[in-house]
Amino acid sequence: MKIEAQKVDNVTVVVVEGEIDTLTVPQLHETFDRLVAAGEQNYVIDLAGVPFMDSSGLAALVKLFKRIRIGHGDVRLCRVRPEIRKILELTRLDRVFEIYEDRTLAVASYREQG
Amino acid sequence: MQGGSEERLELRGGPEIIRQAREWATAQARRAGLSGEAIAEIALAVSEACTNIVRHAYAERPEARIILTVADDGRWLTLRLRDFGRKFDPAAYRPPNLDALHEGGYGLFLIQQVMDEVHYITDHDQGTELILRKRK
Repeated sequence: MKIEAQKVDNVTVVVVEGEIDTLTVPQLHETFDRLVAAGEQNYVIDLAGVPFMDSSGLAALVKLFKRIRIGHGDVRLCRVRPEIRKILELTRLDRVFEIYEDRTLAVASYREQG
Repeated sequence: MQGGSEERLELRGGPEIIRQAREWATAQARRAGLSGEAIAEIALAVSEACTNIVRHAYAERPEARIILTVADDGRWLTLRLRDFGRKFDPAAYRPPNLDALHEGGYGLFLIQQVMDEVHYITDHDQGTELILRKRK
């Protein structure tokens, strides 16, 4: 799995490529741990390059969300494939994470809220 | 594969076997002529099931052993996952409260959501057998 993090305005865009399961999810946890420790609060997770994610990926997203909300940050998702959108809907996590079709719109959503 | 055929795969190892199981199940579902959506659901269910086996049934052991079989009778695709580790107790399972945020515990819930039938056989001498069925 490949993970890249880039800063756009005050938003950290995390681009994930590859399948997320129990074997690969530790890389995601490490990336999130590093970014949180660096003080990053606003995230857009770009999942266009993720053809598969199971509940281990959900757990990583929820863990990040819980940590960031303490400091009034947020985690938003973009370019989520239909199969992954489905598991977000089944678990009602689509009510927790704002989901955008487009990375630019996801980043811009933080600007709009001020 | 059609009309009464069966395929079998035995896997031994750690978390790396989860992807192998998923890819095998995906290939079997594709051969059975299931839709893209159904294939993705089977991949998810098998991934979640194997994760539970590796993490829980074999929690104290260095290597998990899972035998997967798939049978296609033309109307149903039936997957069986047999492990030889610590037994699972279905009666002790509680689904997650979806109004709360959880960092875990969605695995079996998702299996039940995406498969048409889910059964456990827990009276083998060792381990558990999970049966997952999908209408074709």
